[in-house]
Amino acid sequence: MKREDLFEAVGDLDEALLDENVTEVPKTRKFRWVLPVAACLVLAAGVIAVPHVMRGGLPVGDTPDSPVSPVSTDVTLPVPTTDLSVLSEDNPFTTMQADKIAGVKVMYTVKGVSLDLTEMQIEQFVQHLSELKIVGKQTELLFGDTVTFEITCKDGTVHTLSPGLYVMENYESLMEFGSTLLGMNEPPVIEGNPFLTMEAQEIAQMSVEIEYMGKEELEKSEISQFLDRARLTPFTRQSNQTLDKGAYMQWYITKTDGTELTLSLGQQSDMVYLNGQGYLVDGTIQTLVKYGEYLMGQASTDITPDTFRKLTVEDLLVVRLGYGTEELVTLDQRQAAKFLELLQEQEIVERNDETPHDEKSMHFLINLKDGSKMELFNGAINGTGYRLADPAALETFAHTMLQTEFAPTTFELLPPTEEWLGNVYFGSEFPYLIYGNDDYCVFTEGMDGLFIFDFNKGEITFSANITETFNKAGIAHGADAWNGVGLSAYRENGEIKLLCTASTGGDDTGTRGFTVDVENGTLTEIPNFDRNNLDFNVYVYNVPADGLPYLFGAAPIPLEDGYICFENSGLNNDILPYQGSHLPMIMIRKVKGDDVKDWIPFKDVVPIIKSGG
Amino acid sequence: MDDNEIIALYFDRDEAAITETQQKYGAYCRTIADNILKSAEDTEECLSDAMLRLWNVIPPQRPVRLKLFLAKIVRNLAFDRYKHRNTEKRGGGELSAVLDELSECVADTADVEGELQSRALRSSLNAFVSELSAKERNIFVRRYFYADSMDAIARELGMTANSCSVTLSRIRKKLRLHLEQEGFTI
Repeated sequence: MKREDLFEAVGDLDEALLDENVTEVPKTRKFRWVLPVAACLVLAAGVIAVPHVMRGGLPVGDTPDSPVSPVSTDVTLPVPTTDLSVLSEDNPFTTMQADKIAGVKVMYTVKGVSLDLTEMQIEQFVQHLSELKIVGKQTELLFGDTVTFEITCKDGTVHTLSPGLYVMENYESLMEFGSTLLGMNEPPVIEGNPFLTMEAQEIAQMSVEIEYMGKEELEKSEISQFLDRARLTPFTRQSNQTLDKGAYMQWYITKTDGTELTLSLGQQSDMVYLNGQGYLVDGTIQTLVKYGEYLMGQASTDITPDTFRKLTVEDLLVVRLGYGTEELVTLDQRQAAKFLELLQEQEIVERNDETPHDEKSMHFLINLKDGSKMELFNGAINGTGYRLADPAALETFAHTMLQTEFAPTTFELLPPTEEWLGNVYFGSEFPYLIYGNDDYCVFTEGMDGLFIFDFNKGEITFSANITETFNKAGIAHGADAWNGVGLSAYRENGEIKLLCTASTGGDDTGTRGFTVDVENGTLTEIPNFDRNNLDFNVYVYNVPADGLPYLFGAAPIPLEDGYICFENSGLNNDILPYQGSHLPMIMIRKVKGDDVKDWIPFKDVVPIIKSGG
Repeated sequence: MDDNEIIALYFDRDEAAITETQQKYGAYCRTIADNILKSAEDTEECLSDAMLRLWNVIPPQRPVRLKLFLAKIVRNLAFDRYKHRNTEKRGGGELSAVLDELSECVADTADVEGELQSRALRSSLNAFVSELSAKERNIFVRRYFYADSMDAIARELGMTANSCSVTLSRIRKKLRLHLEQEGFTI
């Protein structure tokens, strides 16, 4: 069997299975520049061709019976009804008023594209018409090779205007107008942040769209709010970057002069796209992301200075924390309680947009059990007009949680109760226990954090952001580079050595070995590391709920006292109280040689290790 | 217009059926085709072909779920076009990654031959997917039916791209085991 066979077989899945599970229709990525715009228009042209046939125009190539015509990439041009013989005496275009026009379609048949003009565009079109001078008809028709306008008047007459039909003066701007509408012109290069000089009154219409969420039109006051935020971010043109993937968030702007601008926030958090062209930005762009989400109803709209004080820990569903563009980490329940306590001590004041934003800005995302969501970005409560008066305490807390370079190196933790274990170890998806002995264990959380928990002290004695560390070492770029990655550890001469297999797209790109220096809290790459020379098994068996182990990536690890660790992706949702859809669960079994015995839920790990089995 | 009304237009041989289909499902189909082809030109041609095929098969066929019926047509046509395009060169894009992932579940041996075998494979795959949890099923379908990117799936389902990748990796391993147990050559 080939992989293509399998892919084709997936295409024949029962519709019930497909329908049942994918309730959201994948939406088209709305904005890409010339080609995609043209592509959309090609279909539009096909669609337009049908009603055109209905109203008596002459279709080219297809008979009315042909099923192909609705989606043909050929644009069907109408036969002009304007009487060419009277042009020199009575030019119908120069006196044509917008209120007499029912519709205008602009076409360019060579590229097979067309577009129906909006009311605003029709007004601009008429303005161009008034500057046009038609002096006769062409002796040799160039009909399909130029931009052509088809004008349908309210009295039912249809007129066709094209330099291929008429000898015209001052028509260049009209052609430019048409070709711009059709997306045939190169997008104008914009240097820097265009919003710095843009005023709200210049914007006739604006909307925001978030993938899979929908689209909302902005009101005037919201346009001003948008501009206030958009001005915060420096834009640095990246001429080699264009939007080639779907954007998460799109801001569509139509200015009063008819020009259109689309700001796309793409997949990479440090890039935005203006009309499809890439710009490097910094973490301040998050203010726009949050504002867009707020406009789409994704953030609470009724935050007041008292809002946080009314909250209790029980109201919190999940609290996540990040810095700038970094991925968010999830706080456990105890950490969330501390966060709320600090938050409630804060005075909340009217927002001050002069607040500096940078990539170190802290970012809290709070989901409440009632379904609402709150955002704190560098102390600003986005979308509400309020901010924290003095976010320094939260800043310190955030640094501590993320163990950034500014942070203290220890956590204040509760005694190791069952509940506590669940919170600490299962606060994020896919934790991995990678090493353990009677005194301490090493585990990762969400592939970002590496932690060492000291059983004797009852606290975490070491933590590091693995992704950040490896990124700095230049061996991975963001979380995507870690797809399918495992971590594994072993002890050699008293040191824990951490192995990392960095991979992208499912293919291993190499294995790096790192030494964990527990004393100093550093990771050091092992030179010329070769996993093939290791004399132990670095793989881990993941254990699904049915108890059948299977090989997955690299990871743990026999324990010194005869136990081996396993990680379960978590299907046994009844075992531990965890609020997410995932319930990661680490299991430990006692091994003697190849004799594997009972599974032990991770909540029982500590007592077993402490008691020596 | 609801699907039944659109299908009725096809049965009436009314070309408005195409217009309505385009209007309702054009963006949806474009996403499916574009995920596979990553070429605006190919995508448009694929969509044209899909509309023609839809016009030709309804009637006699009367889809229960027009959206999925159309999705399958688009997907098949796009994949045919992808294979044709890539006979001479190795393609990039999302589908290339998707196929690479699926290669973990199969051995690159002879093609599945004959209707009987391919029907058995479809049946086996249906059984496998129906046993997945709702979330796993959703991820699987988005990735291997719609060829959606890992980022898009993760964002949609409120998870990280990394955990999405890990979940898919586990599903593939289970699928490989399932196919082995079902007697497909691995």
